[in-house]
Parts: sequence; C-alpha cells; structure tokens
Amino acid sequence: MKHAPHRVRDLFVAAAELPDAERSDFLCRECGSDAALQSEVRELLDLAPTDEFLEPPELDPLLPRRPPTRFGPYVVSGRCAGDDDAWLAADARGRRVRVEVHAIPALEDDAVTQFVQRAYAAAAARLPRTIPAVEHGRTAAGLWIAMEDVEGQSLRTELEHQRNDGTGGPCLLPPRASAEFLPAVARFTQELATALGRAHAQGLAHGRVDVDRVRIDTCGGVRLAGFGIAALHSELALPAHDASGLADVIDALRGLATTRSALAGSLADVADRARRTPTPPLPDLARELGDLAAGRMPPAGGFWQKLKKPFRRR
Amino acid sequence: MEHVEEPPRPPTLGAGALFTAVYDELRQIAGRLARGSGSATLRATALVHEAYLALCNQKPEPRYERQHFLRTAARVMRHLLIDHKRGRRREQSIGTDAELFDAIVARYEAQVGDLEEVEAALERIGRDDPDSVRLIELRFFAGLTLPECASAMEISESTAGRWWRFARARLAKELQE
Repeated sequence: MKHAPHRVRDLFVAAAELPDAERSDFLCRECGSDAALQSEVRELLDLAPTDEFLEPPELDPLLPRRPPTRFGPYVVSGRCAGDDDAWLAADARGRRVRVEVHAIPALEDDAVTQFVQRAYAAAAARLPRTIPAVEHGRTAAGLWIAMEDVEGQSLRTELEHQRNDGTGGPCLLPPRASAEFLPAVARFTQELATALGRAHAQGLAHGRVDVDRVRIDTCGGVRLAGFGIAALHSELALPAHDASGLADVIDALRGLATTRSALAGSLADVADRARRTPTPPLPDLARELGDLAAGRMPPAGGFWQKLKKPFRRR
Repeated sequence: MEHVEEPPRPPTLGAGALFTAVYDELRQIAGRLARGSGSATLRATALVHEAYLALCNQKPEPRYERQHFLRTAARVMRHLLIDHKRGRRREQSIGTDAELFDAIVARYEAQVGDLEEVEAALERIGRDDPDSVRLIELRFFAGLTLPECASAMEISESTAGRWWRFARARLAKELQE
C-alpha cells in the first residue's frame, strides 16, 4: 500500500456506504490531485470477493458426533427421548439427573452469572411444581445444567402424542376427544399459573415458559423447569413473558380439543387476558382456571358471558 | 474515525508465555478430538473457547484478560494451520493429530485458497495495517462473529463491519498481486 493505510481505509469505508453513482464525485473531492490514492481506493472498491471468501469454515462434519460420557460428577446413561441436547445421567450415589446443554458463547460470563443467580435462587426458594437446577458446568459446546429427573415428558412431547391420539406414545393427560380433557387442561394450567405466581411472589420471573420447559409428570401434574435459562439467551425475564408463556400453553392445549364447548371458549378468554395484561395477576388467573376445572362459572364480563346463550341452552 | 489503540505487540511464535500456552493447549484439544474424546462438536471458536477454559482452570488467578486472550488465540490458530501446512510440505513428523489438521487446513483453503499464499499476504498487510490482519485472524482463523471480533478489538460492531469489508478487499487484492 503506497498511502497511509488509515487514509485508504477511511476513504474506502466512506465511499463504500455511498451509492455507486456518487462514489466517483466523492473520491475526486476527497483525493484532490492525488490520482494514485484515488486509483488505489477505487481498485479496492471494485474488488468483489465471493461471499465465501474469508468466511470461517464449518469444521463439524470432520468428526463424527460422539455423545458425551459425563458432565462433572454425572455419568451419562443415555439421551433423553425427543431432545438432542438433553441427557440422562447419575452421580456416584445413583442420584438421577437430566442434563441439558445450552449452546451459548462460553465466554459470556455475565450471562452465566445471571443464570446461576436465578437458577439457584429458584432452587433455594423450593417453589412448588418446579424442577430445581442442582449443578452446572461448562464445556466447549456451551453450558450444561443438571436438574432433578422427573418421570414424565415435556409438554411438546405430550402435544405430539395427543395429536396422534396416543399412537406415537403415551398421553399423560386424558385423551383430547374425551370429556375429561378440557377440565384436565384447566387444572394443569391452573397449576402452572400457581407455580409462576408463587415465583413472582418471591421476586423470581421465569421468562422462558414454553412447551420444552413445561413438563408433565406421570400423574398429569405440572413440573416447570428452566429458571434462569432466559438469562443465558439474553432475554429479559419479565413477568409479562411468563404470562405470555402461560397463555401459549393454554392455547396449545385448548386447540387440541376435538369438541367445541363453552369451557374451551373460557380458556381462550383467560389466555387472551394473560397475554394482554402488562402485569398479569397470576393468582387471579390461577383461581379462575381452578374454577373452570371444577366446572364453576367464571366472574361476569369474561368470554363465558358471551357464550351465555349456548351455555343456558345446555 | 475510530482507531484501535495499538496493543502490546503480540509475542513471536514460541516466545510469549500465553501464546505458547494457547498453542500447546489447542494442539492438545485437537489431539483429543482426533482420538474421539472431548468436545462433541468442532468449530474454530469452540477450540478457542475450550482452550480459554482449560487455561483458566489451570491458573485461575490472575485470569486471562478476555480481549487479549482472544486476540492471542486467533493468532495461534493462524500459526497452527500454517505451521501444519509447512510441516507437511517439509514432510516433518507433525504428531498424531496430523490427519485432523490436514482436514482442517483443507476446509480453510476451500474458503480462501493456498494458506501459504494467504500467510505471505498477511505478512505484507501487517506491515502497515495491523488492524486488518487482527480482524482476519479473529473472524476467519478463530471463527468469531463480527460482534465478538468487535469486542475483542474494543471497537464498535458497526466499525468492525466496515473494517471487515475493507480487510476482505485488502486481502483479495494482495492475493491477486
């Protein structure tokens, strides 16, 4: 390079941001009588390397993917069904855990610190219906989190099994075509709203309530995992996110019902209000869902009222 | 216009303690990977991160300053690859991880051409434009994202994006000459 490199770079980046038609005038103006400088910058601008040029290569296919054999004190016994990044493991005393690996930049210390604070605060609070984190550590692939292994399945798996009417695997809630399904949905989501409400009362927000974080135990009860995970993904764990997640869970389950009913409409109303309210009163929503599960009328003014006529006809 | 304050000159190959430590660690990690143990995935950035963790575990205090570590690790990656290429050409014994490094070098060369020519071009660019070389080391050799490169170089993301465009053009031009 014949000219001061910073000068060439400054002209290059300034010209590169201009439309093609304006670059010549800009370079003439900036370079003045220095034709060599103008030529040098123009030559760099005219170079058009391919998109692949200097892109870091993918190296993954060079090695077969081998499952991890252990995470800290936990020896891996197998992969969790339906989840590529979760493993079943046990420590030397036989305590079984489920280990999730989160692919985050391993050097993001702030995110890890935030996660640790939230995850262990939730564990220490002994929140009902939650699955506490018991250990964590790092690998090059990201952060691993060990949590109590609860028998059952994720809500994602339950939804799949329900859609297939139990042909792909067991349903832990009543079959979607049965009369018991929607009351069970109301009870299930009531438990979820209660768990989130208790967490909020302790100053803890979850922030990433989704079908992978919500699990169903073998009795059809809620178990909520993943406190602190939102921090790893740079998400704000605002209470409104929790209510929005609750609304998504209600809608996902409610949408499976094969029969139309007033209860389905009321569940939709609760989900709608949970999603629209900036600071959702989770205990109130839980109470309302509990009433629906018990077959009691919700308070006046809700979606239920709009369905008063068909309800009376029944 | 934002300029990078010139950091302490990186140690030459084999001279600086951190450079040597990272160099050794990356070779060990690659060796473990070649033998089928260690990390489940292989990316340049994963290698760098694993080396960082390994070195921090060996010597927790004082911790390595992150930006300095990343800049050093990126330079180490560049040297690991070019040393392997040159060692192959001289038919030297280059360890049990040779085949893995052959494959890695091939992947890099698919993106940019002959690594020895790239090395010569980087040497020429580095004489008057160390910022471009450092950015190429971080982005291309260490596989960092542009925001991570910006953090390592202590410049803004937008500046990193503009400088990256210039660095690509600069290297492409050098390779043509």
